[in-house]
Amino acid sequence: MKKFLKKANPSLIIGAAIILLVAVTAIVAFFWTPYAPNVMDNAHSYLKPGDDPAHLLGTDQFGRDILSRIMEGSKTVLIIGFISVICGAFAGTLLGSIAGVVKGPIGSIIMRAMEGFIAFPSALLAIMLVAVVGKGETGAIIAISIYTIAPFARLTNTMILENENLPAIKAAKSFGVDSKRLLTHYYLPMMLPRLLTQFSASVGSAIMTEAALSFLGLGVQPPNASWGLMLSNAKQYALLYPYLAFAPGIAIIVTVLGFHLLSDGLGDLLIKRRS
Amino acid sequence: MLNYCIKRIYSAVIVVIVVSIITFLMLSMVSGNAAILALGTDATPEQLAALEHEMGLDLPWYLQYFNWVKGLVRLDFGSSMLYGTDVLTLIIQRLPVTLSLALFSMLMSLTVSFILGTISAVRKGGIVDIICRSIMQLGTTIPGFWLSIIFIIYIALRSPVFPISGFVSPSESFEGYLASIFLPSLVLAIAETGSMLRAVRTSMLQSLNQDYIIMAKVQGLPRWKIYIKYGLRGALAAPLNVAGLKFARLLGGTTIVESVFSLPGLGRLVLVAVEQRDIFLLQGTAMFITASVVLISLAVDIITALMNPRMRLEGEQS
Amino acid sequence: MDSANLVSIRNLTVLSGQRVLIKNLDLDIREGELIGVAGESGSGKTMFILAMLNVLPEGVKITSDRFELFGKDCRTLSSSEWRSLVGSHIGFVPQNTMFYLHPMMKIKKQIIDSFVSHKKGTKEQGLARAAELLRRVGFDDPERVLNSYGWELSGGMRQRVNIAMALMNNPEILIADEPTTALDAAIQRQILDLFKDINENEGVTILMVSHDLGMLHAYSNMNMVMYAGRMVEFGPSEDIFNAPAHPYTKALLDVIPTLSRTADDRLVEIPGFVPDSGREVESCIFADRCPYAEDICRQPVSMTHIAAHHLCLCAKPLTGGDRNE
Repeated sequence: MKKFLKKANPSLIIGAAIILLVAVTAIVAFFWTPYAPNVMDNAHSYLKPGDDPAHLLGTDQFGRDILSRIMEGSKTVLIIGFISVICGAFAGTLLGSIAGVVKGPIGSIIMRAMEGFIAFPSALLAIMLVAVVGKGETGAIIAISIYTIAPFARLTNTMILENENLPAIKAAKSFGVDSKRLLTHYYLPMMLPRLLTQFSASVGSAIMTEAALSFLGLGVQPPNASWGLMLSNAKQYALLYPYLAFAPGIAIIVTVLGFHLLSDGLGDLLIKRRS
Repeated sequence: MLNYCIKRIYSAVIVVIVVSIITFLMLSMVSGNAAILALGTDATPEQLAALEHEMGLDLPWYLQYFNWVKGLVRLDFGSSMLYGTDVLTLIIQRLPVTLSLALFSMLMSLTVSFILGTISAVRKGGIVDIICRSIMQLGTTIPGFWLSIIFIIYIALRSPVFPISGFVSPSESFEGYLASIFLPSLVLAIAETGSMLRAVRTSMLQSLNQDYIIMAKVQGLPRWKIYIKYGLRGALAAPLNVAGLKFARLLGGTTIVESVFSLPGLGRLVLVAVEQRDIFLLQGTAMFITASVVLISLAVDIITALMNPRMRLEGEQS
Repeated sequence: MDSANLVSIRNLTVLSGQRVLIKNLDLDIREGELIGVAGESGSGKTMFILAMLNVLPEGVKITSDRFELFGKDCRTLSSSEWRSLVGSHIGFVPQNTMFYLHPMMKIKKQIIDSFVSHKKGTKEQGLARAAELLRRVGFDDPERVLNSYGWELSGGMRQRVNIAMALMNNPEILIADEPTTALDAAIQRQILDLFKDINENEGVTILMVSHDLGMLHAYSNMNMVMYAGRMVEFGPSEDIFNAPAHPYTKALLDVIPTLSRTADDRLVEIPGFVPDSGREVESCIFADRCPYAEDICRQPVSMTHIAAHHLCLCAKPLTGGDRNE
């Protein structure tokens, strides 16, 4: 542990601290928020931050407490971000591994399909996927998972092709180690550092995509709280109540930055740089 | 060189085919009810069957796909149920907006990236370098939709120059056109500048390590000549390639700014198609955008390969 | 001070952080000499040249008691003044690698840059001079060369362009760093004959680095032998090649394969490697590999005069008897 802390770089520490903060907020939000996030209170609508010490970040047009909704939103963000990237990363790694180990027509069909997915501009692909699976939270999760598959598949496949000529792998093959064991016991440990780095970066972009989809009305639906949705709401009242745009925007920036920093930090820590 | 081009063209063609299969299969999963959407829910089963037959929806999927591709090859991207016109016309109407956004944002991003990236590489560890590295880190984390709102609140609403929303065609008023496109382009440019800067900085650092820089120093040339005439010239190819690829992908990446600034571009067309479940419109537009992205990227790669002397050298020898 | 010295250096030390790359180097270069600099890779030959040209890599620093080029004290010059001095008085002929000529600039643009920058003349005069020099180095069609890119030329042609470019400003010294590596033998000769010709007919002083002693023997009139960052021997060619005083020089000469070698002769090599670290010691740094090493060799050693212009850094320089064993 001490050794680990010694090697840790600023990116890693700051990134991990930010994510820890968001995670704690989300856990607290499961049990307690200052106000019920979806309950309207028209008597206290449009309170600016600082107007009323009871509402730290103010209230929106329905008098809902913004701090509570940000906390509630952190839950949504982490759940959608993690579930979708875990599913996508798993499927992608599996597909990439199959393509790398099996090769032949199956392998090349898989990889061609992945290249096809990567060719789509990412915003367009996300929107198309939502059109297929439907709006809403589940739709967003499925869309983002599918969207995460291709990059993981390509990364895994590249790593396997890079490593398959290593003496250790060749030796294992000559001993008759079967493909499944080869993957889990030989390739996976080698690939883990880069997969983890990619995972962290992917959660960051999944959160960004979720926010964008919700902002466009394709993700989380009202009255539920999501940072993207809150911004979409802020847009309508931007003229008179610009403060509505601050809290959710900053929440998104900080969280995404946290995952990017963690990814950079992990990369520096775990991946041996080729010189 | 010729070999490289052939390989590159071959793989681009394959990707376009795969993209067409993905687009078709993915969206035909929802298009089962296209006939219902067209006729409304109170249509009789006979009417439905007749329309489905007319649209070719009762054929097996591969025949449907084949018919669709046959259309694409003749530039028939299908017709929109919502607008009642053919998809290509709709695309062509909206293309200028999206192209303008992509072009202007890339120009802005390139200008800033080349200026800052060059200084950052020349004065490694200096103030500009530190600023640049923060931009690289932060640039990609700022959501475009948030930045758009902030620009609307703090710039568009307070200045008479920039409109809050809407597109002015250049034939109407060129100044109006520039003003209407400026803020949304800036939002896109900021999102792209992080990685653009990184590309310029890396490439410039590499170039400054080359032998021709030593030669220029030995010859006692003035600093600006060493850095700009020799260093920057040697650092051009890679960032320009990145910029070209980014430009291509922006054709499908403008949805959010178009939506916030109410600009009638391709992104909004996609969004409307999804909201109104106009599947043929979505299929056609998605196919058009993605095929353009692949083909523009192909052109960009080949052009930058031509700029690279090592590639050209290979061509001379083979 | 001897005013005929173009270069006068005393006690030059080059450091990369704490690591010593070159230690206590003294050198005077007189007008008209063709000096060969010999030594294995890692002996500090290239580093020495880079130090003179003031283009050392980042983080490498120099100290010296005297560093004069053309009578100017470089230690008082700013970095850019130093480079300007180098640019207008010294021509540099690099190793034969691809990209000393800029890959995205036509040769005509690059060749006149320094000429124009140092105000030796206009662009047109520069182009005319470039064409004349290209002819001088053996091109029949200078116009075509001027309009090509460096990578379009063969190695030998590229090297001749580099020489022409180095001559643009009428330099007093030409510094060449392994100018004939990776060229085939016939081209090597052409290039070396060209250097010799420039030295003899135009009186340009030449400093040529090479690990090929056989080649230096044939062309140079003064020689400097470097080992592990030190100058171990310096003197006229006839002395260095016929009567080497330093065991390292002798070892270098012994490893040159000659045509008179018979099938029974084995190829000799110098046992061990050039030390990369520990170069700061005051005693002889070759002692560990030296077949003649004795206890005295572990004591601090200083440069001794063998003859008027023949210097050797050895506690017990070789005499006639040792050499002919």
